[in-house]
Amino acid sequence: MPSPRPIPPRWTTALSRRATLLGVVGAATAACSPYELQTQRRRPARPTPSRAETPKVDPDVALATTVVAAERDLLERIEATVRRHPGLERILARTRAVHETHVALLEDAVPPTTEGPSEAAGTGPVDPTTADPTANQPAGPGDEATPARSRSVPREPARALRAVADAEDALELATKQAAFAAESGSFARVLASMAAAAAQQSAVLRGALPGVLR
Amino acid sequence: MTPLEALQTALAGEHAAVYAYGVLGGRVSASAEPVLSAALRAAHDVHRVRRDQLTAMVRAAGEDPVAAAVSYELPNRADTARRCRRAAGALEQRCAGVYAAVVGSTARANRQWAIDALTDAAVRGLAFGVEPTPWPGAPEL
Repeated sequence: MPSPRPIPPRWTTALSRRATLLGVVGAATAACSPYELQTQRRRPARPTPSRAETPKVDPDVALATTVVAAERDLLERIEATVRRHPGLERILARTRAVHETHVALLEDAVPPTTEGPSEAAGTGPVDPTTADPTANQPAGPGDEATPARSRSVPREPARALRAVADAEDALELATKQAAFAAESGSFARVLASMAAAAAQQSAVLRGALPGVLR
Repeated sequence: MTPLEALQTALAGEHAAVYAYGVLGGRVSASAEPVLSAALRAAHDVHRVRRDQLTAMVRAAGEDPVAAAVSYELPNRADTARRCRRAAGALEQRCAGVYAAVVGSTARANRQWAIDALTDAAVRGLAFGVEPTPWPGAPEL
């Protein structure tokens, strides 16, 4: 399955975003800071660590990883929809931009040696010394509707657009659950804003349906 | 910001929203602008409920709820239907920012309430012409 379009770096805004989220996710990772994780990764391979030695990923980092995977999944759905229905590209362009912005921010926030977004999507290697084995598991009931590895795009454009709107609803629910569960208040605020953005996109796409049906 | 401060700030915001929607609703003709008029009425009802919920939440936290002011300044002159619509959009954006702050300052039931309120404000704002954004309630992101 093709991956979403590469996201260009946006250095002008990256610092403030980083400060916001690394202050959130990073600071909460006291027992296993990104620096420590990187240091551990550079060390020679040790014998298989016992469970007690395995560093624990901060719960908010695991949440961020799960939400990134869900966001990427939605981006893949949008890509697939546009491929099948090029006429929907204009309608979906802003939706795609919103979720690319979300992914960029969260990828900034997730420490590089924890299970990253590509691994979270199930396509890359997982470092057993740093990855949370439960990170790919749904955080809650709402997550179950979001990951759809093998997706088919409906033949009719209106149904395809509605399917994207439904996926936005599922993402909204999953992200709300993550916001509720987040240990850091700042991170919860970020996630709640992302959920609200997904709800907006769902409303916008449903509002565009009559034009597609014509 | 402490949880109580966040709740009190949100309550103050709801007092302002209830006042403003009351004024806006009175300035838009239900016959000439039925859709906008209905949206303003619905928003007024929602914010009254939220004000009452926040009042209860502050009391439950052991503090006296902040009182409403006598009057509030509207986001604009609100002398045409278009300006009333824009003012309503601005109100929802302000409320979204306040709810987002509550999300960041609270936990459990109060946070859940704020998460839902933030989403509602973000979507409600669309009906008043607010453009969708990647970060409703948190524009600095």
